[in-house]
Amino acid sequence: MSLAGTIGIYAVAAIGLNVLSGYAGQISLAQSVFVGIGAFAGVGLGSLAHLPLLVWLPATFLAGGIAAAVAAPLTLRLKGVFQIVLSLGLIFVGNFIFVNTPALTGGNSGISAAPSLSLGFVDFGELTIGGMRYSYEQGLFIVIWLCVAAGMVAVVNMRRTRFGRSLVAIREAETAAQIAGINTGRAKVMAFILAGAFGGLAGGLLMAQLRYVQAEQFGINMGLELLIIVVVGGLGSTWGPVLGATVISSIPILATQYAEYIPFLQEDFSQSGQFGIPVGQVGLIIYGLALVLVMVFEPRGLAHLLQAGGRKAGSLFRRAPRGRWTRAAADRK
Amino acid sequence: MNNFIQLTASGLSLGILYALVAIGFAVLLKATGHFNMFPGAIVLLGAYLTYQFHVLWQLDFILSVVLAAAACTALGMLGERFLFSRLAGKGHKSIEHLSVLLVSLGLISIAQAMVVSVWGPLNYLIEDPWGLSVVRFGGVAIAVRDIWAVLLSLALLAVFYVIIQHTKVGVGMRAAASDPEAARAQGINPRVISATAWAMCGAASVLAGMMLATEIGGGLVPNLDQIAFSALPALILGGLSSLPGCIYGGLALGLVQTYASGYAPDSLGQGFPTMLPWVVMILLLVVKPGGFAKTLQTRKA
Repeated sequence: MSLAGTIGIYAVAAIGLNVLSGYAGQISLAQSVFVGIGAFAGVGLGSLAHLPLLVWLPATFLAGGIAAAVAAPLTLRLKGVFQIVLSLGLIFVGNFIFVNTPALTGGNSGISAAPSLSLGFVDFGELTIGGMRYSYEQGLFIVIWLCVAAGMVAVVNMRRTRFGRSLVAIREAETAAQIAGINTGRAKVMAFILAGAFGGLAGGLLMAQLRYVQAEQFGINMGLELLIIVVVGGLGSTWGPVLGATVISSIPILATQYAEYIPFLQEDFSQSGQFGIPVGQVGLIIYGLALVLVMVFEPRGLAHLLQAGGRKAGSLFRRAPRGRWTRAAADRK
Repeated sequence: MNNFIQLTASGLSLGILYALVAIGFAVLLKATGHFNMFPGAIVLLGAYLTYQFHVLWQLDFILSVVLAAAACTALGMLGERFLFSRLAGKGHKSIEHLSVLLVSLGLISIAQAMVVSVWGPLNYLIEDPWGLSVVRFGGVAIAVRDIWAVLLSLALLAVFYVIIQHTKVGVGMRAAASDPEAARAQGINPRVISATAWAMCGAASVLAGMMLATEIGGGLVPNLDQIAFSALPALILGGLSSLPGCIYGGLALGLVQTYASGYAPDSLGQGFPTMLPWVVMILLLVVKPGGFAKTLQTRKA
């Protein structure tokens, strides 16, 4: 249950990053910073100020968006390597800010949070439907996947608007887009803000799920993980972020759970001279392998792979066209 | 005053190590045309291989470092031959030019996990010959390791300078950087160029990794590659692919960071010295976003 929640949370953050990286073609490793900002905004509003769900969850979305609006002018003027190194810089600056605002973040040691999931007429914290009571985790699960669905619908619709088309135009040929009269700077800033906002939302949900957040979580590793999710899932595809999150975030957790059945794994840290992959490190290996394999064999990502596979499977089961040749073959039987 | 001199000495030695790491990135960028993060993994693996050869297998220290550099160079060349060179033009349109970068990031995370798997998560000493010893000049104590770091780095940089400026391979490398197709038409073998670049990168990164993992540098830790990432501002400050630029950038970075850790008051917050180089880099990029690219263009022309 918490696994499905984690997948959903990473999917929300990846949906945002997909708008920026997949549609607008701008690479950022700093999505984790916005997840962190959302998480700490959630701590402040949902847990410390005891505001209801309807206030603090949208507030995390806004907080991420506002933070992204501040950072956007820095990063979007740059290209390629500069942009990536700058986003790395944002991670370090973000971490510095998190560690040094202990009232909200608990500094290095982290802070625990107890947000309410109440919506007024319905409380997701203790949901009752048809006489059956659901636990906090189950209620949160519903909230998370509602957010995933809303994000996906929003992005699918965005793709069809003038804004969505101009993002794709920027990705394909920025100069041409500019000549065609698209305000490329504004469109990129909007994409960045959208990405940050979804990152913030994911942060709020993460805070509600873990009920404990720590500045250290929102570092390079999470930023890299989110970028890998988007790339492995398939850049610029609707289902990519969800697929990527399913594969990338679930395998390490499952590996930790079933470590004793998998060769080469060991549960605690290895003694020197004795080979064994500690379970804590499996995630890193999976991310690395997934990234390398996807880039080498299917750069368009899992979403494309599934789509192609689905089409093939569909054609197997489709009824053969009743042409001359098939009839002749049938007659021969 | 003594404090200032001491800080300057350790800042210079840290800076020259940053410069070495940055040069590892820059040389590859120059020779292959792609930004490759794999030197980050080489810094990590180089330090651990030195530990393996010197401490576990009891080989001579210098021999261990050389062997580690050779092993890392071979690894890099294998990666180039079977992975990086085949990625050109692959990937989704928006990340086409970044496929090498992404794959190298993947390799870094694998390397990090493998290091913990093979050698364990503990902090080791690589038993370097310098230890914690210091030389005293009047009231100033300077670590012997810092002096050696600067001397060895300068020696290596001098070798690089000779290779790039005065050998056929170096001329070929510069030609390939300015126009790969024209260089190939003139009979310059891109494989030789990239092999040389990997060898230079391996030597620089392993030396830097070994020095960062000495006792005074904090010992051998599994997240040494993230220390290598801190050299990236040096690369940016120095203008991405110019080798002297990397040295200036690295030295500036090392000094800024050391002075900040020596003089910044606690009220500026925890972790301020680590963050300062990144802030400097961000400010510089804000002031001159296209400036470096332009110098790069003129240098190429």
